[in-house]
Amino acid sequence: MFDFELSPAMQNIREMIHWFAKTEIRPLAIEADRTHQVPREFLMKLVKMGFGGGSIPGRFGGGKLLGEPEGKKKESEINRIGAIAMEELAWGDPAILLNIPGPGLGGPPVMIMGTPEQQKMAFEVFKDTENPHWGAYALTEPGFGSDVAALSTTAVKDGDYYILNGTKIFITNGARADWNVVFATIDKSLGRAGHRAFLVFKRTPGFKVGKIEQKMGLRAAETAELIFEDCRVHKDFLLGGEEYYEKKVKGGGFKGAMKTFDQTRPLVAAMAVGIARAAYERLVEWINENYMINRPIPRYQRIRELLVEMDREIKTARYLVWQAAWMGDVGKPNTKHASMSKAYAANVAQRVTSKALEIMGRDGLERDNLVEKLYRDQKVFDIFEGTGQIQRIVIYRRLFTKLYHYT
Amino acid sequence: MINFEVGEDLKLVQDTIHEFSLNEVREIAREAEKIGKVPESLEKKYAELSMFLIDYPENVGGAGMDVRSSVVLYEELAWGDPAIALSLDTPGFGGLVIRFFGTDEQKVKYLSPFSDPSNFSYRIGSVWNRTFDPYDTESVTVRYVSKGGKFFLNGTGYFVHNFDNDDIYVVLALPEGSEDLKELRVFIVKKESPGITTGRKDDKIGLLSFRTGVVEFKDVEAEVLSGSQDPVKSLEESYIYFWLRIASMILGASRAALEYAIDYAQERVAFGQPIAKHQGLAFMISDMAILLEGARDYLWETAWSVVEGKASIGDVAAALAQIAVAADKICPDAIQVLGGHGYIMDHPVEKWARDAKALSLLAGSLIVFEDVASNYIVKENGGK
Repeated sequence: MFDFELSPAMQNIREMIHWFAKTEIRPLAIEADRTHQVPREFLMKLVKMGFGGGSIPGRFGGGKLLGEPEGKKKESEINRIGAIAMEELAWGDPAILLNIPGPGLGGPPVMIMGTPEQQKMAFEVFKDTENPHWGAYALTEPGFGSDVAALSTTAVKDGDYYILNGTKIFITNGARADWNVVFATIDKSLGRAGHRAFLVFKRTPGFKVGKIEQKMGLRAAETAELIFEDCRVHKDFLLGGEEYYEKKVKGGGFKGAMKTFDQTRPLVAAMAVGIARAAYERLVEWINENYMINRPIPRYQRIRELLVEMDREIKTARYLVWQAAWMGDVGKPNTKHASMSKAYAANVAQRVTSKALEIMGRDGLERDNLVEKLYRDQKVFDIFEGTGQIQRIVIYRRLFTKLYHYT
Repeated sequence: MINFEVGEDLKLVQDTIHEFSLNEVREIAREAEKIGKVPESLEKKYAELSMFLIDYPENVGGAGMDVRSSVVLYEELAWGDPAIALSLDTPGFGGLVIRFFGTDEQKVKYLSPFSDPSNFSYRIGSVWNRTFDPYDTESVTVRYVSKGGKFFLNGTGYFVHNFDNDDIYVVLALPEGSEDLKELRVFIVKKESPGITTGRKDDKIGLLSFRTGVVEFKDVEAEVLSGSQDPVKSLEESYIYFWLRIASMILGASRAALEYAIDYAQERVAFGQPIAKHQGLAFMISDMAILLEGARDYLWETAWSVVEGKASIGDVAAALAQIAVAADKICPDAIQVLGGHGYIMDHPVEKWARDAKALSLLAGSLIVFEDVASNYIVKENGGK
């Protein structure tokens, strides 16, 4: 029967990460936002704690993944634990969260599409505990965002090599990453079937970093432009190998790109929940400090109603995330629910941070009060990993079962 | 561990009720609305399923399942028809009040008849305060006096559930001149007691087959429900269970409307293609689906918290508010998908929309839910 009890592993991770977010991340948040960077000592602390390897499977040198099933009987908890951890980390600070060393969004495509050798290559870099390392995911281009089929970075076969040409933008940790998963097309006329994903390491000839973006929010997170000029990538770095695209999976790289979203969208949604919760809790604190004392009742009454609304919407968003994550863990198709959680949570973060600012009034303006930062940070959660509009397309294509055939 | 599976036992309940809703309830929903009551034939069939006391303890004849069972049951039954779902919950709010206020003897006496299918028309009416706000003593309209060890009631009950088709009334009353919540008492009155006059039946926006109306009490002798040590706590418990039922029913009505709209949008053609292919409308339906799914997740979490003893009336009120607000978007938008056809009684969507609204109003309204929830939020955060 349905229940919402956290397993011991979930409970531990929640408590541990909450403690870490509160004592280590949150105190850095505002300064990191001002300086657009996170201190190296902090990153090294994460590496020493094993954070960098936290999402690396044991067979590639990481520890056992938290929530990884033991034996055949126990069910996986990875997605649910991930969701719980992400909410707490984003509660600490969403921009610093994106700085956490590790494969990041590049992890899932390597795990889903990569050959064992490629997985080994990609994850081996995280064995180094003297320096922070990152992986990254490079899909967006200047000419497209949501419309993945319009991909125009080219990959031309030349003997054992593919020659990449094109520009990728808005790539989180793209500049400092050891490797990027880069999506390119071997033939634009093939549409999605022509898409290929490459594992491109930092010092590959012809690969260079363009500008680092200045942003509305998430300022402490690195967002980079990546330029490929006759970048020569050996065919061993084509994720999954050539036969993966020819035989195994119809739709090839595009399908791979889409499949990773089923895992990552609930996580992104969980981050939005964490932001909303952080704003809500800061607001309640602020009300306790400043408001309740001698204010006229009618306005106070209105604030209470707004608090209820925020609280119930945050909870609804959280349970949507848990549901999508649970489906992922037990192997149910969760594309629709992943999109639902992402679409709703992003909207909730928008509403909650915005209302919190309005309630705080002029105090809301101040960066030191944190909420204005959260307001700037949250906006992109309705944009990256698929805009709110894309999520709704994903959803209705799965509701209209007579017109579309998706699972 | 976090889990959204209905589970074997409840799946059986869900499937049984779904079948019943599809084949029996939907068939008769418009007819029941027209005649203003649920036909006896349907009551009989439902009684045979023995679902009346699904989440009541076994010693009063219940099935002994926890409150999650009623959440699943009433969503499914209201998916068939919300008004009939509320009517077929014959113990209703009154039954819950007896469960939480009565002595063991009283519970057995008044609740166990529900466990016998031949009592299919046995009903409990409930006379409560006018606003249905659990803490609003000012709107209590019935007063009690005690004379020589006996209690007598005076006053008028409004929006009385099952006002003229019940066997007993459960009545909330305060002493003359008092507004103190701690002095509230709940009584049982037999339908045929002298001094009771049933007035007019409410003609309302929806839930027309669920009979509510006015009942007047003039020196009516009443039996006090005397099993509760802490009346405020018992009051809150009654509300927790009832509001979870109402929330499930609103959810069921909204799901029915959403599913109907999804089907219709794929069939109806405009500008050369099914209207589902027009993105303005498709986006609207996606949003409806998100709200519905989120509402159910929240409701389930709340029901689980109640089982675990972690939920206050404030938590339940907040969940109910979320669901009422979601329904307020889903149901009218479902009508919108059907356009003019949605407004016409040939399609059931307008009925589900009216019924969902009526459920929210009958259970107190969004203002009450949010007020109760906000009291708890303020309390939890150290306020007064």
